[in-house]
Amino acid sequence: MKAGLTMNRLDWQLSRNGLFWVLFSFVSVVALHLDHLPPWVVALAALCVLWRILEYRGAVPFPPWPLKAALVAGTMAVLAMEYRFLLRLDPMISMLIAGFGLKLLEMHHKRDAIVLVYLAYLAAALNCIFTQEIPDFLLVLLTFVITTTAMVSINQSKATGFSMGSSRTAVKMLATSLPIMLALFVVVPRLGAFWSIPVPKNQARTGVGDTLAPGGYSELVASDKVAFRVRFDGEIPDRNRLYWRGLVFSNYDGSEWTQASFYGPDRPVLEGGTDGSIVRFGQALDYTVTMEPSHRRWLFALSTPASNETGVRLIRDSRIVNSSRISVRRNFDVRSWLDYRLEPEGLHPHRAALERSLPPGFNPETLRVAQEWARETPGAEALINRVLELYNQSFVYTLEPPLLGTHAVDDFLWGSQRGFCEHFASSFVFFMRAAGHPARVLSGYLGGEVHPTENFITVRQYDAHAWAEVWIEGRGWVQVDPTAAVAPERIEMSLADLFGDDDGFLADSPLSLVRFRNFGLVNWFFLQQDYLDYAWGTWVLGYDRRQTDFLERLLGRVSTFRLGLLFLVAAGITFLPYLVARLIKRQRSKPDPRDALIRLFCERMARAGLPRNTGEGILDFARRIAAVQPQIAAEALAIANTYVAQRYGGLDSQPVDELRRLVRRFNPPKVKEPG
Amino acid sequence: MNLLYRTRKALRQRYRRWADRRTRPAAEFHLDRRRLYIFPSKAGFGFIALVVVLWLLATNYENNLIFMLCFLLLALFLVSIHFTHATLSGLSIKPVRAQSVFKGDAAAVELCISQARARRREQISLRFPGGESLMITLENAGDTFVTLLAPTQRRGYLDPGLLTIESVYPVGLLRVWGHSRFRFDAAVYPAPVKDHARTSNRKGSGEGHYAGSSGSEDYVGLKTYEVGESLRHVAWKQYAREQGLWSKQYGDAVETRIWVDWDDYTGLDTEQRLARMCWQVCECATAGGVFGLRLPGSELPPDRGVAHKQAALRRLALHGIGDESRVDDE
Repeated sequence: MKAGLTMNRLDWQLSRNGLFWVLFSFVSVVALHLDHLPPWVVALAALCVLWRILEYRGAVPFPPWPLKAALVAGTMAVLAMEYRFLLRLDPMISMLIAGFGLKLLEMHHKRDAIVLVYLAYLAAALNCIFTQEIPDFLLVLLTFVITTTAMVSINQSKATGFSMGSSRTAVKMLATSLPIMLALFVVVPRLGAFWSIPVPKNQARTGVGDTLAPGGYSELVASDKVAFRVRFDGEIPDRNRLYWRGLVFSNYDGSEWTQASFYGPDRPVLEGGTDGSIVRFGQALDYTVTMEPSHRRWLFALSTPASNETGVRLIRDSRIVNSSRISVRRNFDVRSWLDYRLEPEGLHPHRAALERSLPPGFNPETLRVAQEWARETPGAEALINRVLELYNQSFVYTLEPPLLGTHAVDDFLWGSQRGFCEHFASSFVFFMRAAGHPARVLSGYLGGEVHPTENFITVRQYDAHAWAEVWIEGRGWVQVDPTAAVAPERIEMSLADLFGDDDGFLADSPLSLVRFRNFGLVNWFFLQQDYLDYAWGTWVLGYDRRQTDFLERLLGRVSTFRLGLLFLVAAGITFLPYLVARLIKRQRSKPDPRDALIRLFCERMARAGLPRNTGEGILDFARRIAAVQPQIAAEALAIANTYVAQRYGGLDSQPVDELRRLVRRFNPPKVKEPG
Repeated sequence: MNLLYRTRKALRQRYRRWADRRTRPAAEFHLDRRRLYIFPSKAGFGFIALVVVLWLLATNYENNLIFMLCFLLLALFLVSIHFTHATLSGLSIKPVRAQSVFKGDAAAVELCISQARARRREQISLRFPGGESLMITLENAGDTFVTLLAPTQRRGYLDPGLLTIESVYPVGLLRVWGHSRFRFDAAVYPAPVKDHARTSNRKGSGEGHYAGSSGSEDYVGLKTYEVGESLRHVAWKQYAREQGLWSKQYGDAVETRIWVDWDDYTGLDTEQRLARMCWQVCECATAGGVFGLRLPGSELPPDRGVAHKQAALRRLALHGIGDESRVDDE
């Protein structure tokens, strides 16, 4: 098909420029993955780069093959020991990087370098599985620029020394690719996963956890990281209704609340949405939750959520969980009803016992008081009001509660009386159970910040909250927030407004912009950044779910013709700068009129039978004419001399008239064939 | 594997024949869309495989950022069609001169490559079939002269075959190439074949004797030295007296002239005859003797000197090859 696939014969050795850019590309890829590489792999990579540089400088020999084989075998062995399962993402990255490094040692030919460049592209792209934040993606793009430069440099001539010029070509080409890339991104359909895939393991989990103990929220309150964002299709409900349910705790061991196994993530799944235990009525709310990677499975939604997303399951206690850990930012479409009844028909005896159970031997004072109050105040509602009244009278809502002893609830209720939301929720539920009412603790987030111009809410870690549910005969589970009794402003305001100056608030991020939001410019910047991050999540990371809508809005009607037109426009945008640049250049570099005159002169001589030879200087040509045709010697020499003097002798400011006159008058006679 | 190799070889030959037919000789080739071909290189196919791997990754992880990177590389591949094509597009190639050589030797062919505007074009390879490739980098506007070696296989006018000019610059993903073919006035002489038996047979017989053993019996006089004459005949005495460069003339001119004659080599086919005559011409010229050349239907009168030798060799080279058998340029 092709004339000689003999390119490997051409200049197959790797140039110095190529070598350095490939090394540079490797280093940048390792830097990208620094977080998920074991230290020894990084050390091995550094060693390989160093060795290759010394090798290039002639200071060390190429590693002999037994050493290389030993290195490869050793690497594999250590990887196998470290990870046990090699077909996971982390070991694969380590393997890729280690293999890449070892391959550097024997990279001498263009062929090897090309393989390494492709590996670098692949390894850099894999970084997007681990993190998808904008700055990280910009770093990946930078690595792509470096790698493309490496690809250009290995195709440059060997004479080229280390040069930044290669990167100019690469940047130019990548910039030209952008419009086409965008068109492809917008148009190419996403097919959905073909098979199950390994996800990154051992990532730090963030957000509310699956246990709750007094003081457990102090870490969350110290962070201004985004937990999730929510875009509502309609009006955003009032702040005091935005209780984002995440977990439900029914087990208490005296110090910690945990989920009942019965409510574990897997078993009590409600297929088809309901079995009558959840009664929804009133207006439905549609919204999209954009979860940040929490590396946990539970999602956060308003009461009685329902979702059609694949892998999302509804659980009997009215919350949704994902089938796998959320390791990348993901969008979930959810529908909720704020008016509902939860298990109004009664609890299964086993459940009723579970939701009333208390660990024996803890908090005797609370048990005594609760039983006394239960006798004095029959009826759940009345008792709830009485307990909330107690909180309201003398309790303090604070970020820095004192430490509690073994009888944590006793110490809190009858001692310190200073606490954060988990103290209130935990003690409240304990009290209600002690009084004989089924009750449980809920954990999640409260509120969130409504963006002033865009229709979405940002919920940050410091919005973490705990509250309670009490089961009341005939009404089912009723939500109670004891924190509201002691600090009603917490429900109406964000924690940042409430505790902005407190030491415990944002303790981990002293320079967080949240602290300085009372400055107008900082606030503006903060909101812009928040919006950018939100748009990134919905328009880029979650584009597949909007693709159909967006294409229809963009093209009016999706047809092959219009899609083709879109690509044409993209290609047009791509090459527009070149056309413009070419036009400008053509205008600027007007040909010298003298060149045209000389061309005319040569044409006339050619017609006369004496063409100018290829590569023959104009003066040489004139001398040849003079030798062959003495009668026109003077004219020819005059033309040549004038031209050379004006064009090359620095006299080009002189008028062209003289040369024009000479050439116009020049009319050589036909040269007679010799013999 | 073998089958693949053979298929590829067959396809390549087929392509070569097609390109041969398609490319008519011309005085100048301007490389443009009609003359340039472009196709992914091996590295380019590897790159496509990389794009597919990224696409699989992106699809399986439902990861739009990897999609974006995958499409970026795909777009890079697409725009590199333009950039690679631009490496050769707009170049002109003209022949300058070529050297006459004996068959089997490589002829040095000088070509002129020019571009109208200054533009950096790297790693352009030029190659005649069977010859070494030459890598050049162009930078400035105007002419660049290169000399290529073209192997010769047939006697006659020099026809180095299809010149292939190709490049994978800047990214190596695609190969752009073009062909051109030129007519040269240079000749390919027959490869000389030594045949002592025949030359010694004829010694003493015929009209003259072999110039190499030319006797120095009869000194006739002096004659102005001409470049190419044997140094053995230079009149060194006169030269030492600063009387100029003369050469001594010996004996009867008629006696010492030699005919390199077609009819002496009976029983051989044309090429074998010409090869032996070629050797004889070279011998005569080296010895500095006067010789003439007789071919069926033509005769080169006896003379001596470099120009005469070349004229003789050229006759041998072009024997039986009419102008019309030159690669036609319609």
